[in-house]
Amino acid sequence: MDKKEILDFITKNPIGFLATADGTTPHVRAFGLYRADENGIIYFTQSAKDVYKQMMKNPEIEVCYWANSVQIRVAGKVKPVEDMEMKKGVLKVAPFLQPQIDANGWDFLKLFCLKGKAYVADMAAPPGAPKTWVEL
Amino acid sequence: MDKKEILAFITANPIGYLGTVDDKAARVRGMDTFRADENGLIFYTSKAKNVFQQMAKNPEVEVCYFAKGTQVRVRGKIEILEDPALKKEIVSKRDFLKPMYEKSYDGMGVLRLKGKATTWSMQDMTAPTTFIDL
Repeated sequence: MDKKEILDFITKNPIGFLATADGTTPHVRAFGLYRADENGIIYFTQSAKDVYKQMMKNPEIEVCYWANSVQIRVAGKVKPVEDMEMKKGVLKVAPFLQPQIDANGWDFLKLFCLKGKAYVADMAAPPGAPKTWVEL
Repeated sequence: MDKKEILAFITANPIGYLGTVDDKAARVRGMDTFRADENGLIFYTSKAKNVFQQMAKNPEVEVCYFAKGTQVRVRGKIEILEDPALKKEIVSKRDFLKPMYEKSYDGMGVLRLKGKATTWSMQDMTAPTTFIDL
């Protein structure tokens, strides 16, 4: 798959499994996204969440997508994004956040961008074969 | 969910997403759970894979299962098992492994996670996080 096909795959299958490292301890959870395009993958979460605190301390994450026997892993460093227009867009797709924003203000909603490299699993490759990464 | 329900959920949805830490970086990939019962969760992989080497170096893992709006996360220290009978059983039930291990099981890695689980569901997003020993 090339870069465009990878971004299309992620857009169509937007629930990924996002891993963070809390010191030497890994954590993984299902994670939706706001947008996946040339500028990176945009995710959102809440400032009080452990996942947010873990990423601010150690931004090296990996997200795994899987559908129809194809696995795509995206690895890289996340960066916080401050963009009020984008936050309003997120609220449209995730209206369940409204009560939290009413109570805590917009700063409660956190956006971050992953501009990483992707690895598409090749089920036919022998164990230990070198991985081919595509810059996203 | 209680312990029995969690094990039944994993058995019904055996593809988990296994997280490891490689030095400082998080890693995650889909992983087949061969069995989930009172004795823990059983996984298999090739010893040649990075994931096996990461776990041999740092056994702290977390596995996330997700189906129909329910999420189960299991965390703990994974153990490498050298159990020839279990390796034989896994290969007998996973045909695609047969060509890899027909001569020897030496390169096959089998692991057990006896950890604690936390559950989350879209129906109750604000429920407090609690852990159940598996």
